[in-house]
Amino acid sequence: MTVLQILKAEIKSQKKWKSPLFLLLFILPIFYTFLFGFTYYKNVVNHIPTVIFDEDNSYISRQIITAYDDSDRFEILFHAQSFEELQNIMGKGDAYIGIYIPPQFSRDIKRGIPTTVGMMINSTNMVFGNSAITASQEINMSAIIKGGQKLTEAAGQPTAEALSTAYPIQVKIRILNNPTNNYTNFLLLGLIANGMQIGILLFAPSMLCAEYKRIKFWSHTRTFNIVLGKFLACWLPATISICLCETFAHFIFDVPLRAPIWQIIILSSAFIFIFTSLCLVFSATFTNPVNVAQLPLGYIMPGLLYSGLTWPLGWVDSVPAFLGKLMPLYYFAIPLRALSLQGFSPDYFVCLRKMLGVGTVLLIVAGFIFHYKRNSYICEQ
Amino acid sequence: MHCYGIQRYLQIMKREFLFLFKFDIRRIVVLFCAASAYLILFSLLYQQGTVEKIPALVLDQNNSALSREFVQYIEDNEKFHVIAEPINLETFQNKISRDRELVGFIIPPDFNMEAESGRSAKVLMVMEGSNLIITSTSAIAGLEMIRGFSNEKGVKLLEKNVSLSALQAAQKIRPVDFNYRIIGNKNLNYMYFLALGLSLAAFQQGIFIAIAAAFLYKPQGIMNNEIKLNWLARYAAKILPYFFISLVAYATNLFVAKYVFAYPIKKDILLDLFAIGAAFAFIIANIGGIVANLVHSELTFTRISLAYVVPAFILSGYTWPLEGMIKPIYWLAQLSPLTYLANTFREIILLGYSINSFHNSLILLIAGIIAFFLAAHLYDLRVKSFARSNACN
Repeated sequence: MTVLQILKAEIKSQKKWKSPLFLLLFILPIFYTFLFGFTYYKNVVNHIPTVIFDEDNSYISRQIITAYDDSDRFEILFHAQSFEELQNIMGKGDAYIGIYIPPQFSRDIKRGIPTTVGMMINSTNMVFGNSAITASQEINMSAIIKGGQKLTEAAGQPTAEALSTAYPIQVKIRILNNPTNNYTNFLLLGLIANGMQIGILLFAPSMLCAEYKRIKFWSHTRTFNIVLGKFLACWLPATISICLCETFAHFIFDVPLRAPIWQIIILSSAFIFIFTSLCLVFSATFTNPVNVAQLPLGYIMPGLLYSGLTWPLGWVDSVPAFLGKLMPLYYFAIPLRALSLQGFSPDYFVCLRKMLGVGTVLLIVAGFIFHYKRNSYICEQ
Repeated sequence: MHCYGIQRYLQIMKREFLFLFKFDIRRIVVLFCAASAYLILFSLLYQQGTVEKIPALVLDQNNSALSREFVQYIEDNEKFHVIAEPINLETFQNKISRDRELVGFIIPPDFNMEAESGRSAKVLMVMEGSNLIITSTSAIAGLEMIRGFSNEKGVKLLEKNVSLSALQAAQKIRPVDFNYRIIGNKNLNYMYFLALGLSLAAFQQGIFIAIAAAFLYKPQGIMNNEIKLNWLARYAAKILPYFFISLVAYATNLFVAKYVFAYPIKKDILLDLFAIGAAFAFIIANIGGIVANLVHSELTFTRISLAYVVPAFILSGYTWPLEGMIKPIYWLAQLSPLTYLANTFREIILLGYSINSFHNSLILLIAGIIAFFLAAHLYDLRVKSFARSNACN
C-alpha cells in the first residue's frame, strides 16, 4: 500500500461520529476550548466579598469605605459590629477581605497622631489575594495622598503645592499587551494546546502497537509507508482541529491573534508534528495499548505546568528548568501566547526549528523501532 | 438473599491484593506513588515560592543625585534586581517589548527638578503583560516601593518648606497607615497555593486507574466462586483493598508534604484531613467502579479518566475561584468530587480549619454511598451476565 492509500484507509475507518479520531482529536479539544473559555469568561476577579468594621463612623472613615464600595474589585457585603464579628465572617469564608477602621480614626488624623487601618486578606486562594492586594494598594494610596494633601495644606503649604509635597514622586504603571490582566488571554491558548496534547496522547499511542497483531495484512507494505501513513492520519486532523480551536478562542472568547495567521498555523502544525511523532515512538515501543494510554498520567499535568505557561521558568531551580525544556509545550505555548498578545515572538524560529528537528528525529526513531519489532514478529511467525 | 461464609469474601480480597502486589504491579505503583510523585514534582517546580529579583531595566534620563538614589532604592527592593547596562529610549522599548520577564522604569529628564520644586515627578513603570505572575508581583512591589520613596521625599520637602520636624512632617505626609494582615498564605507562596492540589488530582487518577484494572484487566476476569455471593459484600470485598491502600497513599502524601517540603500540617488538623480524604477516596473508588462496569475495555476507561483530569482540576476552584465562574460552569464544577476536596484541603492546611470541612466530607460520603450501591449493582449485572455465558458454554 502507498502512503496515500494508508492515509485514506485510516480516515475511512474513522469516519463514524463516535470513532476515536473524531472524539479524541476533534470533540475533546473543542470541548476543552469551550469549557475553559467559559470558566475564565469573567476574565478578572471582581466583587470580592468584603466585610467592614468601622469603629469611627466619621466622614473620613466613610470616604474610605465609599472608595472600596465604588471599586469594581470589592463588594462590601457585611458591616460588622465588632472585631470578633469581622473575624467570624472572615473565618466562615463569607468574606475574603476585612477592613478595620479604629475608633477616633479621623480625630487622630486631624491631630497628626499616627493611626492605622487594618486590612485582613484571606489569601488561601492567591487569585483573590493578589487581586485584592493590588486593588487595595491603589485605593489606600489615593486615601493617603488625599489626607496628606489636606494636612500639608493646613500646615502652611500653598494649595497648589500641597499635592506634590504630599506625593512628590508619582508612578504610572503601563502593562503592555494584556493591560487588564485578562486570564483568558493569559491561559486559554495554552490550555487548548494542552487539550490537543491530551487528545493526541489518547489517540496516537494505539496506532502502531495495534498493527503488530496484523503482520500478515501489512506483509506487502514498507515500514516507511505504514509509519508515515499513520502519522499523517493523526497529524492532519489534529492540525485542523487545533486551528479550529484557536479560531473559536479568537472569535468567541476574544483572545487576540495579533501575529500573521500563517505564523500561528505553522507553529501549531509543528507542535502537532513533534507531539504525534513522540506518541508514535511510544506506540511502536509498547505492544499493549492500555499501557501506552496510561503513560500520559505522568505527563498531562507536568507537561502543562512545567512548560512555563503559568510559573515562569526563570524562577525555578536547574532541575525543574531542565525538565521544563523537555516538554514539547514549552516550545509552543509560550511563543503562541507571544504571537497572540505581542504580535511576534522573539523565539519563534528557534522553537519552530527545534520542534521540526526533534519531531523528525522522533519519527525516524518510531520507524526504526516499528521496523525492528515488526521483523521480530515476522520471524516468530 | 444468599449469605456465605466470610472466607469467600476474604478470598476475593486476597485475590485483589495478589493482583495489586504481584500479578499487576502497575496498580500499586499508580495507586501508591501517583500523588506523592506529583507532590514532589510540583513542589520542586514551585520551590522558590515567590517571584523575587525580577530583572529591572532603568532608563535614567535625569542622572541626578535623586534619580541615582531612586535607582538604588529599586536595587534595595528584594523583588527587583537592576540590570546595569547603558541604554537609550529605543533599546529600552525594544528590550521591554521583547523580554517577557523584565520590568522597566523610565525616570524623566526633569525628575529632580520636578520633585524638589513642588511639582510632582512622574516615574513610568512598564512591563510586558503576558505572564500574570510577573505582572502582579511587579505591580504590587512597584507601587509599594515608589510609595515608600515618595513618602521619604515628601517628608523632606515638608521639613524644608514649612519648617516642621521630621516626625511631624512624616505624620502629615502619611497621616494613615494601612496594615496588611495576610491570612492563609502569608508569603503568597505558590508552592503552598498549587502543589498539594495537583497531588490530589494525581491521587484521584491513581485510584481510577487501579480500580479500572480491578474490573477490566483481562487476565484477572471474574471467578466462578463470585457468582453466588451477596452482591453488596462481593463488590465491597473487591473494592476495599484499593480503598485501604489509597488511604495509606494519602497518609504518605501528607507525610512527604510535612517532612520533605515543610507544609504546615499540624497534628490537630489530621482528623479533618483524614475525614475528607477518606470520603474522597471512597467516592472516587466507587465512581471508578461505576464507569468500569459501564465501559467495555480498560483502554476506554483510561481514556475517559485521563480526559477528565485537567477539567476536574481547573473546575475545582483550586486556581480560578468558583465565585469567578459563570453559573453553568459553577454548577458543572459542583458535579466533580475534586471540587469538594481541593479548596477545603488547602484551607485546612493553610488556615488550620475549614468551615466547609464537615459539610463537604458529608456530601462526598453520601454521594459515595449512593455510588457504592450503583457500582455494586452494575457489577452484579456483569457477574450475572458472566454466569449466563458460562452456563451457555
